[in-house]
Amino acid sequence: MTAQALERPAVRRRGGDLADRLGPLGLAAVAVVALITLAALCAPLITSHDPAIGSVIERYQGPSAEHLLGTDQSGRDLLARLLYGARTSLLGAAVVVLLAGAGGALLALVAAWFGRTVDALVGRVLDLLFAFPNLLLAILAVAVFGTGLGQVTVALAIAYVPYTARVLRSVALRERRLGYVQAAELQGLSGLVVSVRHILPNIAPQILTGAAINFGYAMIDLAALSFLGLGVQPPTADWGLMVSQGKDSLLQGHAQQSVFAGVCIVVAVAAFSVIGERLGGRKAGGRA
Amino acid sequence: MRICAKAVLAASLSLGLAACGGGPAGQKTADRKLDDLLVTTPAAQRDLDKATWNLPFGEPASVDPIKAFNYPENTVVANLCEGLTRLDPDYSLKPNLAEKVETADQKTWVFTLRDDVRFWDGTPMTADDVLFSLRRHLDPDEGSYWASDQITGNIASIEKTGEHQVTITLKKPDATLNSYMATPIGVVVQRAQREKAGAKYGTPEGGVMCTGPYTVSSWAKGSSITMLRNDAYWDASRRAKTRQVDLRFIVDPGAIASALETNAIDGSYDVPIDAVDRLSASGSGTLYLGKSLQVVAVISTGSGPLGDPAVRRALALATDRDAIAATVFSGTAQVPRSLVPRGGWTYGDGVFGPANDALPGTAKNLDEAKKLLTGADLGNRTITIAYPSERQFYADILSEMSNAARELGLTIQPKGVPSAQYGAFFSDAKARAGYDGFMTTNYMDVPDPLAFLRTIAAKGGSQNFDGHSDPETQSLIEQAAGTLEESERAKAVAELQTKVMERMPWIPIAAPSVRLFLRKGVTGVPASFVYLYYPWAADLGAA
Repeated sequence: MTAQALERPAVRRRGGDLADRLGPLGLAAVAVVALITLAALCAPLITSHDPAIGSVIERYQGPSAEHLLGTDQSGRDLLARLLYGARTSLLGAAVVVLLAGAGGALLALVAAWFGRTVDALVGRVLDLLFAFPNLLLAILAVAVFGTGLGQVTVALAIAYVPYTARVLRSVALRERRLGYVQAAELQGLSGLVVSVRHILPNIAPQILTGAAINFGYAMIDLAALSFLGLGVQPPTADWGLMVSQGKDSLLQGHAQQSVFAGVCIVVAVAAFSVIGERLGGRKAGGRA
Repeated sequence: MRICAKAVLAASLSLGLAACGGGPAGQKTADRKLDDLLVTTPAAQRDLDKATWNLPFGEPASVDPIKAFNYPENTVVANLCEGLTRLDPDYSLKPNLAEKVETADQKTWVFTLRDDVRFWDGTPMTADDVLFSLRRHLDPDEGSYWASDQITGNIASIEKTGEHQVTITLKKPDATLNSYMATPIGVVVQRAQREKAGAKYGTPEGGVMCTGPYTVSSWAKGSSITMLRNDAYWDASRRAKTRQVDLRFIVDPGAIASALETNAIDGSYDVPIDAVDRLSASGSGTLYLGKSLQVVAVISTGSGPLGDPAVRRALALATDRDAIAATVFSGTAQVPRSLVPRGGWTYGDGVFGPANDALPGTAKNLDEAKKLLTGADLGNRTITIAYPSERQFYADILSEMSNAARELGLTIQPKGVPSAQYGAFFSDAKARAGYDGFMTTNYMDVPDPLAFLRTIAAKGGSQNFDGHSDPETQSLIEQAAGTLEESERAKAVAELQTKVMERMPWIPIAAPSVRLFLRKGVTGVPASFVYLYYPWAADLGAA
């Protein structure tokens, strides 16, 4: 065994300049994501309006100094609802990718470390999960546990696990066969320690880039579930819910609510997708 | 790069659309005249070969009359099957399959049947068919949705008392029984066909055999029902004017509005509230506002702060219901003082009018509302109210009520429930657990205030969701039910109404008008809320 073979490849992966990999478009996407996150966090500083309070007397107001983007069908300030809606939209998607990333990494490491029967078993479980469309699984969770962001978030996270686990398993398997892992084993380190301390850091870039791509998909799925009335419940502000609530307003010629919320979803999803693709593309555990 | 370009394009288009769609600040719905609502549209002048109609609440689950207990089923069955009596568009009760009804004590009701009525297959309607049909509601194996303690549960016996005569004997007097004979409770079906169809009865495969002005020609599940005129209808003067009526099941508000504007469908009841302004301005047809029997209300389950009558009355007073009627309902609803819609007073004009005027006003009065809550123990001050999540207008109403609650030191927590689960709120106490109230668009089965108030306030009433009962209310109900003479009955019902509204088990929000749209060139259908039991399609014809 040569010294080169025993060297941990981490330095090789960290060597690339992040800014170079992202490029101008990727950096712009990062700026967009940062802006949205900042707006969500600073919502109370940007607007004094409560996103859940309004009066029907003030419904469908046009843009004014008081309401920069106008009001919705309940007379609520649209800008406030967009800003606060970013919180639920981002938070839900973040929880989905965090849980899916954690679950996927765990399954990948277990499959890679034990191999053979365990690997085959994990593979079949993932196949089973693949058989259920994401939204169907979430709707099933709603039927059993009721409507709400928490329920659909957990259900979607479970649905996203196979997408993450499938890619991470192949990366972890490759790492498992490398010399530095075998050297650590020879030193008597346990499988748990080798997996967590040595393999996990080396598959982390794939976890992160997969998460970036899945973030966009999770936003779309959560928005769809809120649109169907299964996710975030009124009067909580949420972009998907706003698209849904604005649907009936279209009949009255007031497209603002649906359009503004729709634009926010499109921009956020596109930004996360660009970041994910620049970091590693679909090879890195993104949803197919 | 491709994703980004698409996103930018979509964003630009969307912003452009938003700019075009944005309405001017403070845009008002056109004022609508609601003082003299219509009962019918101009009579048809000529026959029509074919018309397409929409059922905005979706496809019927069955056309078996005893399973017809909701908008889709009743709107169809009303054209197929007939009752012993008939409710006309002006809410007057007329003889129908029974040519005469007699009672001396409101306990024994004798129905003399017509001898010239024939089913669609040409066989005559007999007293045995009538007996069989009425008794179906008493048979648990048939599973009638109309079975209830107050109506069918009050029936002691149903007997054939002559070749063309059937007698219903009640356990307690009930002056409203005859009105219910215009609903599916009094509908007659052919016994032989019912027995032959077995479990498939009422389905596209099993069908029904009735006497009405239309027959079911075909039923493409999930797509449409085609009704064909019954050319051998027993009452030639009321023969249907349109040969074929295709019923569609479009439920999406936008799709309904577009279909009406483009004349893809010729008409629809219950057009979407949000489409009212657009359809009013449409040149493709006419929007009619009719006399209704509906009321939109918040029902108390008896739990939480809403279980306190003072809180309910305070919320009613503090909520700007006039604003709700003008905006959420686009000016097509009125604010009722009572849970009984104004259209539901079909007798005792001289009694109900003054009694209604004596009820507390509907204008927002925050000071008075606060006085009502002085000293009240409001517990945790949070009121959880459920509503069908697909119906945006309920969320708008609750948003406005939340403002009122906040001013009273209360918090309203609206909770959307998918419609598929929401139906259980009306039949299963477990489904209502955890909620202090739930929204409803309720309607009177028959235009008799007694029949409606009884469901809400009587002990064991089918809509007595907070379980309250008191001897005085019960006594008034029984007194009214035992009084056939209408002006006398009206006095007892008016007193009952005052008592019910003091407790206000439901908070009345709005009394919506019937919203009917007809394309240019077709006319004749009723504009009132009789279309659930009256053969409305038979009146449809060319202008």
